[in-house]
Amino acid sequence: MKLPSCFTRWVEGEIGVPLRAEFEPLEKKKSVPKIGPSDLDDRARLDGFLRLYMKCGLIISVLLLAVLLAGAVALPAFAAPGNPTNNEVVRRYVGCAEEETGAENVIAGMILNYRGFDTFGESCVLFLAVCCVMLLLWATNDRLRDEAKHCEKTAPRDAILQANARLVLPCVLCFGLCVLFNGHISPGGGFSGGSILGAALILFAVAFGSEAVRRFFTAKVFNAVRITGLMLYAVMFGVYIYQGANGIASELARYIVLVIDLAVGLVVMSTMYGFYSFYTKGEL
Amino acid sequence: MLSLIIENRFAITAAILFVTGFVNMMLHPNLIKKIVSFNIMDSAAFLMLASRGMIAGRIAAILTDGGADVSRYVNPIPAGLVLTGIVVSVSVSAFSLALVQRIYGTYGTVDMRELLEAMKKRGE
Amino acid sequence: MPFAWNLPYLSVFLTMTAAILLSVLPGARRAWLLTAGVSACVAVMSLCFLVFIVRSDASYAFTMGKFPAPFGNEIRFGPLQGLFASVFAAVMCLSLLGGRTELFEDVDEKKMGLACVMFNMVLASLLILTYTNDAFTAYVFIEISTIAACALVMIRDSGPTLVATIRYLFMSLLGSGLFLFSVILLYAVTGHLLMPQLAESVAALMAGGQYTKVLALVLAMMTAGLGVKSAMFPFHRWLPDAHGSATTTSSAVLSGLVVKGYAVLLITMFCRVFTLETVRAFHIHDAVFALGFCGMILGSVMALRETHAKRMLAYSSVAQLGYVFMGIGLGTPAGIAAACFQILAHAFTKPLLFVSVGRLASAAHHDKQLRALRGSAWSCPLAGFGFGIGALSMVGIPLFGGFAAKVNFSSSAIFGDEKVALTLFVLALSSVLNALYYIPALINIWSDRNPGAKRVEADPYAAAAIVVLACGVLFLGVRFTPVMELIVRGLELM
Repeated sequence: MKLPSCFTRWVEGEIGVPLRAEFEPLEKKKSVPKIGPSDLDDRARLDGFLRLYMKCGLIISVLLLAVLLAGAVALPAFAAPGNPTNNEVVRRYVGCAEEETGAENVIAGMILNYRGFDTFGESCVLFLAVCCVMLLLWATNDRLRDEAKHCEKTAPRDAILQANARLVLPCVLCFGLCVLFNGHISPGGGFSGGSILGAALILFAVAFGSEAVRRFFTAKVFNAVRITGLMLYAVMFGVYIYQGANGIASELARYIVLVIDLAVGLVVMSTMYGFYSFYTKGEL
Repeated sequence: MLSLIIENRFAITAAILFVTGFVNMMLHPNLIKKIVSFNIMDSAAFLMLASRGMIAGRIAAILTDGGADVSRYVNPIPAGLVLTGIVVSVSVSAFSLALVQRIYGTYGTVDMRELLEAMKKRGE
Repeated sequence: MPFAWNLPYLSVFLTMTAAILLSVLPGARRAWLLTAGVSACVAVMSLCFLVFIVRSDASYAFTMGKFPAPFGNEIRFGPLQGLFASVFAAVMCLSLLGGRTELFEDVDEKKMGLACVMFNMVLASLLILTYTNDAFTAYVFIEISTIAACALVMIRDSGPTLVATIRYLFMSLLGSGLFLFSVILLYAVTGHLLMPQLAESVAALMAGGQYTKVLALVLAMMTAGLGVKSAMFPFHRWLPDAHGSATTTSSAVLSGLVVKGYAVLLITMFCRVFTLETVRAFHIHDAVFALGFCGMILGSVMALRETHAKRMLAYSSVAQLGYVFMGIGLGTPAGIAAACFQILAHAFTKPLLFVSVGRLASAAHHDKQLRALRGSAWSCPLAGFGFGIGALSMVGIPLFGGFAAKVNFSSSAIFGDEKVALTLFVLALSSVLNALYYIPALINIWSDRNPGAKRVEADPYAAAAIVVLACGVLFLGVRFTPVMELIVRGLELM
């Protein structure tokens, strides 16, 4: 069966054919694709669209600013002790954190125990970001990898940087470990300690080349550290939630802060170095 | 009015910064600057949050010799939330920078407008 | 506490640990199998849990740790949450099955494990967005869902997908920025993050007339933020590029599930925290209704102009999300129940359409222009039937899920007291518009046999997925009363 051509074109999704066919003679319609949308037309359309987008965006933003300022002025006063935020939750956290979580640093106790599930989500965000960077920049192609290796071999090593790195690195490492392991009693914890350790690794890589890092921090070690950290967190917290929700008494709550701090530190350290490494070389 | 503004100076600064970031993120054609704007926007949110935790004349919520006397310490909750937020925004920035790097490698531009034109030219 | 109450939390932890392990698991096939297995397992677990919770007819708050509501994290679940979770997990599994061939063609073999991480994380974030009882947990998992969803677009590594990803990412970040700021403002005036306490404080503030300006701002920003992320009308421009250029499974998951997660969260916030009275007092529902209204019409009009099959389906998603927002915008429990039903119906229908188009396009050398798909159904009849069922459901033919959704919308509008005429008008108009592009597409794929068509190898996974998804659409279309009763009961127990 042969369908009328106009109908066929409509069926195939050509724009507005049946509607136009009622008003225009068939010959004229055929000439439309000949002129075609030229580059100039496209440019004008794009310009028009961008201008409209600009205008809409500006209107939305001015509105948002006005509304936000009105809201900001109506908020409870800054730094007043009687604000709604200073309620029984704060009293419980400050009053009982040491006893319930074993952390003198109330903030560490809060993010790793009371609201530990949020922090697990947050570690997963870091993990996801590394996975995304790997998806994007991982040079699975041999040619790319050889190029990166070649660049690295020919790049000169800076003597001043190396000498300074020898001096600074031990201090940075000690400082990082100190921040990491004292997170429950002083400012710091997994996130800050992990970033300092990651920075130390990056400094080492910059000064001595990533070949030197690869002697002890290969892709396998990177994966192992990352996965161990997160799995430690997941398993520990999974068990903790199970016990907590089912009312099983345990002493886990008192140790969870220390262990999870360590786990988070491992994750953050490997994440930081992973970012650096994939950005510069496309592999570990 | 003036006293209201002074009382809420941090909230107002945060609101202005938030909108600055928001506008630039929507309207700026340069992808890198969009990422910078995103960071401004998130920092504004963190400023807002951190200013909510402040209580005049008190110290950070790390228990010292004074013991667990609630009236000595500021509100610890915003500090923890800001920490979470910062980590999230770092991750998102890393992801978007990697994306921009790949886009630059493919199309040779980080300008949204030129990018759209380049895509049109390639017939994509 | 009965053991069954641990199931939601166990399913979340199962998906998350699977995601973590997948990033180092060697072998593309194994990674895919584990992902599909985990989502199937989660679907079964959620279904068991659903049966259990319906029998006990209760909703329950589950402390994520030792400390109860105002102090520690919490999730909360009732029949509605169980229903959403089982449908989301099941559709995730079916999309993975249905797009299997394309997935292995489009994704680099070495990167398959990482791609599967994203699917698992999307599922975990959807579960948490459904279950959460904590505004800040919601923010964290919104970000997880943002990153993972953007990664789903770019796992098919090509220039246009990268650009689509970055546009999607920036739009989503605007949305999550708005959501974060609104949560902070809400915290500033109430001092809580857990939803039960938030609800109490909001009720007290509304009764005392304190901080009403801030509350209105919070509601508006939260709605706008979640609206941007679920492609509410003026913010929909990222969707067709992202959903149209991704690989089949990703398109199905993004269109069918990810955008719904935010809508479910919005419904939770409206019902559990602010209550519908507050929403109505600030006229937020009117704005949502207007935007849903525009989305329904303009989404369809733009789909009408599209010649690329997947972009057409993506624009149709904008229109279908318009239905959801229209239902929420009615501002009545019945309207919200209808929106929930629409979420379910669309979660089955759109993946069915995407999977079918993916199979049909493999007959046309992966050209997804409608013109190239001409007559392709003859080389892959099952996909043709799948597309037919999906298209008829979208148009709103009786016996299919889309029809039941429209019936629910109209009945909730008629028994409400406002916007009756407008709702009925836009439902009728949008049905006509849907018919205007779905019926030609359907005729197109079934029109005369294309002699140049490639023979399509039989794909048992895709066949199974199409059959099950089609059964889901039919089930929702025929037995919609019990589902609706379940949803209404779930909303009462919210």
